[in-house]
Amino acid sequence: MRRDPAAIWRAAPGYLVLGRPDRPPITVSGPGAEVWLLTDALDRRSIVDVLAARYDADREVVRADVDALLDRLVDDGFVLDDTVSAIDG
Amino acid sequence: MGEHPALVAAARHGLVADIAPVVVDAADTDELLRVARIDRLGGLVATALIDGVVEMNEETTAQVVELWHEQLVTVVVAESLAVRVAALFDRAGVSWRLTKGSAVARLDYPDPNVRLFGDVDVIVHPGSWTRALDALGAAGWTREAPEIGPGFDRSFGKGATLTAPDGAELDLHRRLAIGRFGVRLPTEALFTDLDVVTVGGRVIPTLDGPGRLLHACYHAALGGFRHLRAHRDVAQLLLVSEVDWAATAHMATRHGVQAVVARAVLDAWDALDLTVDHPARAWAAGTRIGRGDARALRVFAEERSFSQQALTAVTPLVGHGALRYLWTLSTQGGRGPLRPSAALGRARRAVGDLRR
Repeated sequence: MRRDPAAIWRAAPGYLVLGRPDRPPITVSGPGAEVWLLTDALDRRSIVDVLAARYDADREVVRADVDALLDRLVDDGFVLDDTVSAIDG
Repeated sequence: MGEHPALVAAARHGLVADIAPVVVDAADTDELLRVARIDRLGGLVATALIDGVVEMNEETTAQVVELWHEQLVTVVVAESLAVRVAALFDRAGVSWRLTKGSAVARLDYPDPNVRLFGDVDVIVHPGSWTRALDALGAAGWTREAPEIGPGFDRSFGKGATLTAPDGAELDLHRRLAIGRFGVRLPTEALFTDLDVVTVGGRVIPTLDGPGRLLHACYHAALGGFRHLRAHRDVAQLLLVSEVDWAATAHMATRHGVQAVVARAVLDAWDALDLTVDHPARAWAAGTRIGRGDARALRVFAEERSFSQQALTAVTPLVGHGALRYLWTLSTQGGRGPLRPSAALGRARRAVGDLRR
């Protein structure tokens, strides 16, 4: 899984702006920005692990949020994912 | 300069050791937010808040963060435009450089998220000027104001603003400034080398370090809106990027625009309350600024009319088209009340200045 190199982005704590030359930008608030920052380095499972530990949060809740966001980013073409399916465990 | 101490603290944060936190009085917040908005300081102020360099109440803190977010959206929109322009220029074989906002944010700030900008600035090589305009025109871009007169762009002009079919705006620079310091510096001198940034997967040419510093100095000393962000850029390039400032000074001196660099460096130190030693600061302090240059700098510092700023070019243009320049400005400029008789009078005075 990796960010699409064509994505143009900026981030602040708890905030992310994603754009492409051919469309208006989208914004993501909350931990979504951290998901984006971790996307190039980690797979889905590892991102969930990192965020669940960082926020001392329920792993299943984090997993649902991460899956939802990454699916959206894949659909929008901001993330390229060869293993799109959600995490099994 | 008169900027709020909290804005100064934010604008210098990351350059030098911070002093005691600046606490913002609730009565000052509206003005502080207004300036932070128009000078695009949202990232610097928010970072200063996060790092405890500036303190303000919760409501104002939330407003600063919201401002930062808004300004980040503008940055992404601007960079999306830069990528579209890059594709267009590359296809047309235009020689050009990205400069100012996006180039400086990506190359000179460790965190590009704090250096905000709202538009795209590109410099076009003189040999590509017509090709660039043609390429943009073929893609549906329109020029806001027509060329002042035939050949004016090539000989004297600063550039043009173009608007895309979707309303996006692009500042196309033919020179770094209007007036005396614009016509003295041959744009070709900025194209001897380059840096690159990768935006949206596209490799984009930018001015090299000395060129970026020179343009930052032009903006800080001569630009229409030059406040803390402009001064921060000059200081950032010197103190953080550590660009080859001596190359900038050499290029500026060679073309007779050293007064611009010296003024900008001194102003940056003053505006940001910097006390750190730097050889560029020492060079600037020791640079003699002649009477004509000082007068021209004053015209820009006082933000006088376009006509008055343009007229600062008359002296360096004597023997190089000064009369044609004046005639074009007076008869077709349409940007100021400069009558032909007044133009010729100014030409005579300019020649007289030159002889003195």
